[in-house]
This record gives sequence, structure tokens and C-alpha cells, in this order.
Amino acid sequence: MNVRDCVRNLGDSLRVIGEDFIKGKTFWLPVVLAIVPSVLLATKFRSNMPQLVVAAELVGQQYALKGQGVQDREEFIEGLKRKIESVLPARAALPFATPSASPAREAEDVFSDWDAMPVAVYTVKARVTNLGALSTTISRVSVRLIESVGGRMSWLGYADWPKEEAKLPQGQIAILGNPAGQAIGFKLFGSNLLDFQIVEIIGRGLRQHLAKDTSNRREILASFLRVFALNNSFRQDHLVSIADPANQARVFLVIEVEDVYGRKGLVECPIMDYGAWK
Amino acid sequence: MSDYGLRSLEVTEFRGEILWVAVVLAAAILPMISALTAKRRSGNLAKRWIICWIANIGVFCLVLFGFMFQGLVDYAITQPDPFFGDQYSPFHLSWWQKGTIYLKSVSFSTQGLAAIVLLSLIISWATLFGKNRRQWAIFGCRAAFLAYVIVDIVLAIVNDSSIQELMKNLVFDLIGAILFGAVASVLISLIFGEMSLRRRPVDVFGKKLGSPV
Repeated sequence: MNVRDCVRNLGDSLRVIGEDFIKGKTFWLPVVLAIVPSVLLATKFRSNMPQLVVAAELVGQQYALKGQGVQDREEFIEGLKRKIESVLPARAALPFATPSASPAREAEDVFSDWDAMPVAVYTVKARVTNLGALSTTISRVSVRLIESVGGRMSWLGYADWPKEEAKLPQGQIAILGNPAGQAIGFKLFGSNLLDFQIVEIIGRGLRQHLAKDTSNRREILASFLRVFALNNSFRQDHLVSIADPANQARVFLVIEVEDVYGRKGLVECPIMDYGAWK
Repeated sequence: MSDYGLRSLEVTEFRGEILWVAVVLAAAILPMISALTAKRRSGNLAKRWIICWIANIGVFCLVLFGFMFQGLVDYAITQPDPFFGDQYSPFHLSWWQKGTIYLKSVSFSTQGLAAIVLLSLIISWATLFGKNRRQWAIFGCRAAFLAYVIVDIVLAIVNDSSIQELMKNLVFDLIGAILFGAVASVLISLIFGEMSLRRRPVDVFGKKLGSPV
């Protein structure tokens, strides 16, 4: 018995099976006729199973720069604006600086450190509805902070929601966490989220101060961002890719609710998107 | 044949021990029935029982390979996130990288493995009712298709699968059952030593075309 015989026998067996589909109608016809209603029945069962629909609303954003306390978004943005304002002129004046002159080191460190913005706190009002015909119980809620640039997702942070074990009868709504808004803190590594804030501040500023018919506003914004991250080409690329409207950059929270049956409900909660600076 | 689906047997508070009890019972009874119904020409009952067990192991390997293959395809092409199963994947991997990771880390849950063993025992039992390569191919294909379809429909209900996913799984079931029937018939022929005989024309129409294959 060699490989050739095995292959030949395999071919014979395939032929026999193929012919069985025609000759063995007494078996295959009832099977096919039984599969169709079974699939329909499965669909009906499926529609009875708990289906979780999650809704969420962002009611507050707080951030902290390294060495500072947590501030509300407006206050934080004002502080960040001043810091950018202090750093940018020195970097733009680099070609005219004398070799002995040094840029504002302290301000530069605030932006270039890996933990330049170590904390973000979001307050979220969330609720989940069970649309199925069976009761269920929520077993876990988790929150992810995600950036999407040009369709590529990166996780900026992950947090567990305080333990939820809410019973969810059919058609009922359960409020998740604090009804006034649940605060979720993220410990951040890297400067990705800070980059979004920087692009938004500079982009908004240009939109306010450049003439409306300025056709190359996108290129001007990219130039500012390149000057801002003068010493770090990776950072420059990240800032410019966020600023490019073609990439549809955005930051959002994903709240995921899981029940005891392993079913999941997801909702996206927008935080920032390219519409603010395009 | 969705291995992703087997995972959810755990989360629905399924008692895996019951499945293992069924596996033990099936393993004790089904190969014995196969040995009793096998051709006496293959040897005495003890020898036939050992041969049937070897055939069962071979069939288990084929069924396991089928699950792994489908798991690989699901993981590499349709499953966007290896950990969370949604579209927010932080990993940007090619299908080849995903496939490599899957094959290096392939493992089934205890319940998943029990389900595969039980499935392979039943398929093997039905296949071994055949008396020659032709019947092994036909019975194997029919048994595998029925078993896979039943499992997929049940899992579609348990896992809340979409109709599209169920249809995809049914197509996999059909292709998997055809390939299983063909390979299993050759494998069982080898195990029963039937291949050492001179090759005969396959008796497709149920007519006697010489001595049995």
C-alpha cells in the first residue's frame, strides 16, 4: 500500500460520497427538509434570549498633567493652552537662536514625558435594557478608552466598573453604577490622549484666527504640530495623523456589559473626534 | 463545528461533569457495539474491539482536526479580536500571524474537549456500521454531517449566533463531512487491513462487482 493507492482510494471515496448525494435521496432529502425548519426555530429561540442594549452618556471629563491635580476639562484646556503658548514660540524661533540659548526645558518636559498626562477621569451615565423574552443577571461591566486613527484602534486604558449584579427581567432597564454619573478613572501611559488635546487646541485656534477661505489650513496645522514636536519624529507623525481629517481620528469609551449567559452589549461613548479641528 | 461556540457552554453554567459521564458511557458501549457488528473475518471479538478502538482514535483525530481547522479560519479571518471578540482590537496582525498564534496556543476547554470526544465516538460508531470502504465513506459522511449540523444549531441557540454565522457553519459542516467521509473510509480501511487486498471497483450502485472491497 503506497501513497498513490491511498490518493486513488481517497478519490474513489469522494466519488462515492458525491454519488450518494444523488442516489441517497431517501436520506438527504429528509435531512435537508429538517435543517430548514431547525434553522428557523433556532432564530426564534435566539430572539427569545436576553439581548442587552446599552446606552451611555458622558457627563464629565477630568484630566491631570504630571504633577498636578485633576481638573475639569475646561480648566485643564486653559492650562494646557498656556503651556503650549509658552513652548511653541521658543521652538519656532529655533533657527534664529544662538547656540548657547536653550529652549524652555521645564515646559518641554511636561509634554515629552511618557507620563505627561497620567490620569483621565470620565463620568458616565449608563443603563442597560434587556430586550429578550427571558430574565437575566448582569455579571460584569468593563470600560475601555480607545483611540482610532485611520481605522487603527489602540487602547489607551482599561477600567473595571464597580461590581454590578443587577437582575434584569425581560424588557426592564437597569441603571449601571451611580444614577448621577459613575466616575471611571484611567491610568494613562504614553502621550496619545494628550496629543488629541494638543491637536484640538491648536486646530481650534487656527480655525478661529485664519480666514475662512484659507484652503491650506490642514497643512498649516500640520506645520504647527511638527514644530511643536520638533525633537520627536514619532510624536510628529502621531500628531499629524490625528490632525488629518482623512484619518477620522477619534477617542471614545467602549462600555461593555456581560450577563450570566455570556451575552454582551456594547456602546461607544464619544469623547473627541476630528470634527473639532478639521 | 465552531470551537468558539464551545466556550460558551462554560458561561451558561453548563455542568461539564454530565458531559464527561456521557463520554465514559459512550466510550464503554459504542466501540463494543462496533466490534460486535464488525465483520467476523477481521478476527475474534477482542481483536475486533481493539481494531474498533484504534478506528475510534483515528476518527477522533480527524474530528479534532476539523474543529481546529475551522477555529483557525474563524480566528484568522472572521474573528477581529482574539481576546474580546469585538472590533476594537488593539492588535494589528495579519491573517498569517493570527493563524500562527492560534496554532501555537490552540487549546479546548474541558467541556469543549468532552463534546468533541462524544461527537467523535458517535460518528465513529455510525461509520463502523459499514462493511466496506464504500459504506464507510457514505456512513461517515452522513453521520458527520448530521452530528455537526445538530451541534451547530444547538450552539447557535446557546451562543446567540447570527443567521449568517450559522449558514457559514453549515457550509463548513457539509465540506467537513465530505472530507471526513473520504479520509475516514481510507483510514478505517487501513486499520482493518482492507487496503492490502487487491483494489476492486467501488460498488456505487449496490451491485455485486466482485468480492467485497
